Amino acid sequence: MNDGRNAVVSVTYSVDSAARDRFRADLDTLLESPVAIVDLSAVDYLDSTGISELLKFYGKRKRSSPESCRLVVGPAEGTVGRIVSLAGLHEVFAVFESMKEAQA
Amino acid sequence: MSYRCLRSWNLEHGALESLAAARNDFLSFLQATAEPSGSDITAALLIFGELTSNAVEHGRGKVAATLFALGAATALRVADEGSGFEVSTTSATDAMRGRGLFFVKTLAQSLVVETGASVVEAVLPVRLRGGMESPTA
Repeated sequence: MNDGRNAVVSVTYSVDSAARDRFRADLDTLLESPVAIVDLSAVDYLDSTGISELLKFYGKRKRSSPESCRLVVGPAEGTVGRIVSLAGLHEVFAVFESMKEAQA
Repeated sequence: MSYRCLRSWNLEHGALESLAAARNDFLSFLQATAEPSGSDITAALLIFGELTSNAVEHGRGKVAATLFALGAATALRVADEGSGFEVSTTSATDAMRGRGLFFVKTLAQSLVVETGASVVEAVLPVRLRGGMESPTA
């Protein structure tokens, strides 16, 4: 989805080592977008593989900033919310619980 | 009191596509046996996922994950047939493995990595329901 400024990738699969290439390819579609929103709210599992790919993606984008790199993680106590917080991604990305907040 | 094997999962080096089914089975088992108020099942799932993924991706040969009970406490042991590993931060792969182990260390109540063998044991933040404490016939 792309409304010109906000480009969104909605991930619906488990992000583990088996899904690394697919996740990387999905993230790479957002490399040129002014604002990239990665929607992980429907993801049931994400591990250190996913964290590594998110950090690489942030590094590959030109002019990355928390304002332009947003993550939607669902409930903070969920699997994705927990590991994103544990990895300290809040210091790199802007992290939201819902898509509505991310697009505000 | 001795350790009792509750359930085990047999995986193999390189079979990344089998990880999700093992995780789902582990999750279903804990949901059926864990005491919800004294357990952090999300943390246990992440520990299981990181340790099995690490062994299947970087270990050798057969990978065995075994869930043990000691009274109401639980521990997970993951072993492969390789010669073990030392985590360093000198390569991207090692840095990633290091990140996975950091998560496990943070989420588990304790973590033992046996040197010289590919065996990792983590005490899980999971308590079993009362009925699970006594050995089943």
